[in-house]
Amino acid sequence: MGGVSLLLIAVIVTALAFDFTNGFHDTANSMATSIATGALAPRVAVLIAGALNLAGAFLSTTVAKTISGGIVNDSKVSLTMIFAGLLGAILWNMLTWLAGLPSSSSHALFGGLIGAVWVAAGAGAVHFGEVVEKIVLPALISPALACVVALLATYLAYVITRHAPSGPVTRAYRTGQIGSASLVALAHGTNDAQKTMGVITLALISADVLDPGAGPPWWVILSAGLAISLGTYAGGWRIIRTMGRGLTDIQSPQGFTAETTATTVILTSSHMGFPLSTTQVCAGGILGAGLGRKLAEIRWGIAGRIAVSWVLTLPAAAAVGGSSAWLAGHGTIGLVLAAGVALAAVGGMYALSRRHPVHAKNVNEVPETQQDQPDDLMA
Amino acid sequence: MHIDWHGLVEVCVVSLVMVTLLVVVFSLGIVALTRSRRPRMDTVGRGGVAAPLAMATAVLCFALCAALGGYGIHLIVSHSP
Repeated sequence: MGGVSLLLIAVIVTALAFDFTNGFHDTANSMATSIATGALAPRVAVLIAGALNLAGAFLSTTVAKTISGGIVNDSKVSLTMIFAGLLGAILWNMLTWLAGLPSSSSHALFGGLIGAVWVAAGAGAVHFGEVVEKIVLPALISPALACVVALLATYLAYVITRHAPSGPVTRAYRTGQIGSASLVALAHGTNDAQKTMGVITLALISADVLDPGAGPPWWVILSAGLAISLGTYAGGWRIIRTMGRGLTDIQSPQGFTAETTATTVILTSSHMGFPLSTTQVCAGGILGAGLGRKLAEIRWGIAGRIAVSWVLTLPAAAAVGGSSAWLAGHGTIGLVLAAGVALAAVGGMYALSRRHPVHAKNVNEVPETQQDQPDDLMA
Repeated sequence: MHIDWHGLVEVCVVSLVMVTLLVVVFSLGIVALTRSRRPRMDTVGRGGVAAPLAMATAVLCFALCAALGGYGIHLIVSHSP
């Protein structure tokens, strides 16, 4: 069955490609504030984050039993839909990376799947109640919670240390920051790498390569872990700049409280079984840390832009996923065409990014261009 | 659709308490550390904490933070979904 194996290979490759974009899109979550305050040199920061993501991938003992966690009817999901959904997620991740916006990779994946399933299997296969419960509600609550907690913690940190000499205080918070940032990276590896493992494993099961209920083979764990950690190491410098420099000017006490807040909120909610977006929690924490320090400037234009990208993530990824599913539904030619268009779009966005490259050496420069960045990147 | 409001409130409260505890303890640790490094005359003269006691406080504070961090790693390893 040449067609089936081609599709299966396409799914595995796109799943790993998504995993890679997930990695570089989310480097900022763990390392943006550490890079901004100078707690870690940029290259060292991405190396630590990449290594911890890889470690996290191997630590995650249980892989998701469903692709979507109940957001779509998994029994109606075909390989083609997974493929189309992944394309939607990858393209939205690339577009938001180009614009330097920290949007949620998980939401992009869910959005892509929802769109693909909606087009290919009808709206009845999408559980909209679950969408509200597992995506919309956490997206409203978690950044607000992180913001409030980080605000209070930052205020307390500055009040307690106000009479202490600033040099040792800065150094101590920087050290603390390395610890809290590392925990975010580790938690990220356990959460996000296993999503890709789950997608590949379920694709293998539905293609009868694996028995139902089988765990991921070692090469799936290894390749998913490597893809996310290489992506993390590549560093989404554009997003790191927005999170570390664009939103507000982060000092080391703020970096410490923002990362501590992010780690705590993520661990508490996943411990209690609430799904949430690491990205949104981290952005909320940074915003709160900015508000908690007197005289800290918040660039509300950038905050607003980030919020808009969050609202758009689900529908935009769904639109691309849906279109891809429609195209890929037309046999092998449609499938190849969808992959070709996606590849061309990714290549085009990469080429665009080279016009104003952001890298390890200029990541800490204040992004004055972000204020007048062309809005067509946001569309 | 079932929304676990009770659980949500719990997440909010636990997060708030844990972060506040961690940041306050860490900050107190830093203050104690900087005091322990000042000349002994200064701290004793001000009726403040003597250097060894300040150092012990700092160590205790940082140990508590490290323990909380260790518990975090434990949660990551044992409760990865």
